Amino acid sequence: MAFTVDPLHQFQITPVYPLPEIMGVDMTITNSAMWMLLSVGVCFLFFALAMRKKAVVPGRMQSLAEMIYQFADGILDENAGHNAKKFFPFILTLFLFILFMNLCGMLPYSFTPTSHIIVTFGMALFVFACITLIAIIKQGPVGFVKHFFPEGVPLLILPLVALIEIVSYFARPFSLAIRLAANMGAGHTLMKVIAAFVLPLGVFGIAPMAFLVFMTGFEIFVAILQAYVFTMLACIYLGEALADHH
Amino acid sequence: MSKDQESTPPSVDSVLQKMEALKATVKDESKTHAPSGDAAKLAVDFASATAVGCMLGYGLDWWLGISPWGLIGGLFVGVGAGAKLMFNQMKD
Repeated sequence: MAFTVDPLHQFQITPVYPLPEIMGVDMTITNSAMWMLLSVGVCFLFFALAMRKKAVVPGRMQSLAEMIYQFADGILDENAGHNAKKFFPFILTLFLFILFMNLCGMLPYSFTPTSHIIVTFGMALFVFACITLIAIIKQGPVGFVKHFFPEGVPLLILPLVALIEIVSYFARPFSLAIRLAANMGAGHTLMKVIAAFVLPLGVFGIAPMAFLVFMTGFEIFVAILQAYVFTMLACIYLGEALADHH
Repeated sequence: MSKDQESTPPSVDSVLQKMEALKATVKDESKTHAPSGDAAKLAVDFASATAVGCMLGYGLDWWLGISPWGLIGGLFVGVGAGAKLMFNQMKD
């Protein structure tokens, strides 16, 4: 082989700008952190540029910005109800952060922070902890614990049912994190694997090349879809936490 | 004249009724879209519930020194939790 194929090389963390330790935490900017910062910057720039005119009749850019805003609003409204409105800034931030990280990861030579489970798990754990806290505040500690003891269950199997309820509740951040990271990581790996077929096949490389074009479009779809799914699930959990009765 | 009378425009009520019927069909279609997405969600939910159950059991093993019973029990509880999550999804 003239060249080695390493489809997982794209997920390697490399330091970009070394910074000293602060309170025992290494503050070095890695490529992951850099792309996170970049995607936040791109997001900020996009909205600043799009909303610069603040026209009553929006242009193309402003339309897109308003569409994204309304889309996030729709997710929150549909899944968490009207009394979740005060959490909209958080939900919009979450959605935009994931969306722009996923989409920036589609650029050639870029890095996708959301393909690392530590990043997605950090976000999922934060969402989970916040929503659990909201649930405890809204429903009271007793009301919150009551969720794990469903009514009408015979006393004999109640401990087992409660255990299962607790485990399925704590599975939430894991399923959130795994879903996002696995989808992003798998898609990018698959694209690299197929790309490795293009050159060695010579003329017939046109087939994997055509498939790659299709895959790229599909990956952009997945990037948007997974940002939507993460946000939607966060909204569903939020809605459950805010519901007063059961 | 008779031709005009035959092709009188439909009444507003009937048009509205038709629109409502159309809306209902559209809603029904949107509810049952993308079953593959739901299936993928089930798979991840099941796997993560099982993983959490196993972690819980492993933690109990480590804490109480009852290896391997904590892990075995945790595995069953995790699978049960995964099945419960799948069941809840199916109900919706």
